[in-house]
Amino acid sequence: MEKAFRLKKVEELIVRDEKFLFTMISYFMILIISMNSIFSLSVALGIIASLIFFLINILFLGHTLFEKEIPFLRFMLGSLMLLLFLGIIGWAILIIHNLDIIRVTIALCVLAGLSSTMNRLKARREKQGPK
Amino acid sequence: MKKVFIFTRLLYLILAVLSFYLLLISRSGEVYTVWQLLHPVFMPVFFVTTALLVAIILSSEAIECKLVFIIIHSIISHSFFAIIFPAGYIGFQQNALGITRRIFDNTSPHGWGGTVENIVIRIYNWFDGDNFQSVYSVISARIFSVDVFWSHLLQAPMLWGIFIPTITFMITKTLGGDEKIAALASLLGSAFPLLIFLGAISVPNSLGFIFFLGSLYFFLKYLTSPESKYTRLMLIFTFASFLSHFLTGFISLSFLLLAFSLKKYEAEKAGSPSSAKLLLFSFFILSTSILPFALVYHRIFSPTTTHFTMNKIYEYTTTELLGQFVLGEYLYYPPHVILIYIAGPLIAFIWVIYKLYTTRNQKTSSNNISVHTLFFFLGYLMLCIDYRILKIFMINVPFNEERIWIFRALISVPLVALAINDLPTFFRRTTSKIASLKPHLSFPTSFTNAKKSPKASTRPTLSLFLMMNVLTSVVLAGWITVSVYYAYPNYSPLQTTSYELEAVKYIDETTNKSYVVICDVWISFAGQMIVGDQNPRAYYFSEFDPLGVALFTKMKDDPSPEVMMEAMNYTNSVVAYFIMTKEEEFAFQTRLGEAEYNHIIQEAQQNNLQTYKTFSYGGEEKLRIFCHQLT
Repeated sequence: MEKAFRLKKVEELIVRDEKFLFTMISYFMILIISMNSIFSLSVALGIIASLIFFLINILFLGHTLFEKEIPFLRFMLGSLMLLLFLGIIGWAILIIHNLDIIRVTIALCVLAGLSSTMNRLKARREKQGPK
Repeated sequence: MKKVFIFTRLLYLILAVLSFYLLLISRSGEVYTVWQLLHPVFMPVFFVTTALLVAIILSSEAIECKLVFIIIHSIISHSFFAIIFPAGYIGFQQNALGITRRIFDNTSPHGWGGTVENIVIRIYNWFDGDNFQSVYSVISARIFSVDVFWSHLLQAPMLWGIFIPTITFMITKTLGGDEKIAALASLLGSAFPLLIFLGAISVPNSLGFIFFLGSLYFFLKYLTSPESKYTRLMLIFTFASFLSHFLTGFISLSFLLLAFSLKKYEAEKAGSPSSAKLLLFSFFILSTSILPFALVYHRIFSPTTTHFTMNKIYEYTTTELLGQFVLGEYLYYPPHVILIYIAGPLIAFIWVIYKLYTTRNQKTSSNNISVHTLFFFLGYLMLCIDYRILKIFMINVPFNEERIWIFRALISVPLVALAINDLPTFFRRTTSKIASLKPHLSFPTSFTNAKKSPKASTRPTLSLFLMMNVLTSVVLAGWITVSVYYAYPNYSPLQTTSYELEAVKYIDETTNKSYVVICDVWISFAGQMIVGDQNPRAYYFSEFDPLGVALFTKMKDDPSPEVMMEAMNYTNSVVAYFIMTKEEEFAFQTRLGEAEYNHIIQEAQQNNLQTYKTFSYGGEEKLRIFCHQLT
């Protein structure tokens, strides 16, 4: 029970995204992912950075679109939305140019920007209250 | 937390890890089917794991825990090909990897087919499912810093294993099932052999089915929720479904039209019922006709010759025609296999008819359920009609018509779980009719509320409930295990072997000039996976290319430098290789037999062809590469 409560606190902290802290962390992870792809090629570093990136953006999307669901389902549906947006953004970039490391970085940046903006808009709507 | 839950969680995790381990040690470099070298203990362990999982689902364990366990189970069920075979299931998924490899290597700008001159064809190529699927494989390969070979092979088992149970859970909940039944539904996806198979191969269609199911969930939400976000979400999922594969795209579009019309029908039926019914009927016809007409007009963009015909009706005998109409391709299967394939969809169909019948006059609280049930019924009916049109009234359909059954299986899964939930109630009603014989017999009303029965319930009720839970676990675990057994082929050609992959890699690593490889279709698949499809620097003829087949036949008959020169001239290459593989006599022998293999070596040596490298497996020479280059 206490563990679930703590996890909920962490989720709230991330989706509050004060001073864009978690958006910045998300962008920092993209930087690590790109550097890792270009230079060191460490699978472990790639997985860790990607998981942090995914976690932040999944929580943003889950909170924005499926707030009424229980936390686990919110997380899973957020993952599904992330998968969908990643695919469509990546596909558009592939069609425009290709999917080299730079373009994959651009795709991730667009995705991070999109989910952060959606999360912000949702928070703003919540502040304004129901019309 | 109850001690019993800690114990069952630990036990389940141990069994799941054991299952993965047993699969892993069954991995082989030379194998025909997953069953050939699968560890004999695996299936019993899988059965026990599944039975335990069903018991956990029927218990009051936390829903998060149940879903995580189901996802683990689903990933295991779909990983047989990726873990046991050296390069996944032989065939189209390897071809898809060939295209992905070209995009990964940045040698296919603007996507696959994105540089053709004809602008209409170029736009058509953008929407080809291979491009959309490649995006996931390439991005995951780049961000995890792994080779695209692995991100592609594991794509379908992972995404299918994670998302199909999750979306099924959500759909079942929306259809009125409680969390226990929704969790059971998310496991029951593994009771459909077609779903197991498609979730095990990484092809664009597999991805399309995930997005199709996602769109289905949002169609249901759209039907009954006033929130506008669901309209946007169902449209975006339909688009993703279309990007993944044209088949899933058109079926999603058909369901979208059905959802629109059903919502309009619900709004208008009170005012003018007959015009509302007419509208619904018209949209149903339109939805049903989308796929057949889309296939016919597909010829505008692609050299397909799909068209309507009455010829098939004349070709079949009356019995065959009836058989095809009722059972389709299953007509030729043994009866027990037919049963395994149609059990789920049949239960779903019976349940949906029963539900429509019993809720026909209810207008208040269960209105959402009856709208959803009607939507599922219309969707099911549409798929059945589409299948029969494609199977009996069309020829040269660019895919196996039975692929329509996968949609049917996907929409059947939640319905089967709901049917199982209603089973005790149904039995109770039936037995109450003969209650005069045994008045003390009292079934729980359903699996979910049986526990809430008043304490006054008699001891036989409790024991009956326990017995039913145990029986349900065993029966469902048995059903899922048998389905998994029949989902993976029992007869197959030799899969891509480890030494074939090594040979292809060896050539690519040791050749710094452009080269062409004359080989059979099986090596061609291996080549495409490692260097990409139709790579001008490292050319492997596609499996459909008649020139590639002709050159290989010529080399078999007369292995000479002249034939290799011919291949080099065709592709403007500087080096040509000829690869041949030896296979022991077997029912499905696809490579060269020992005598022919040795004969070709002898002939090649007489014609002064140089052996470039040989590869052995199990202490025996299995593969030989000959080389010739321009001087």
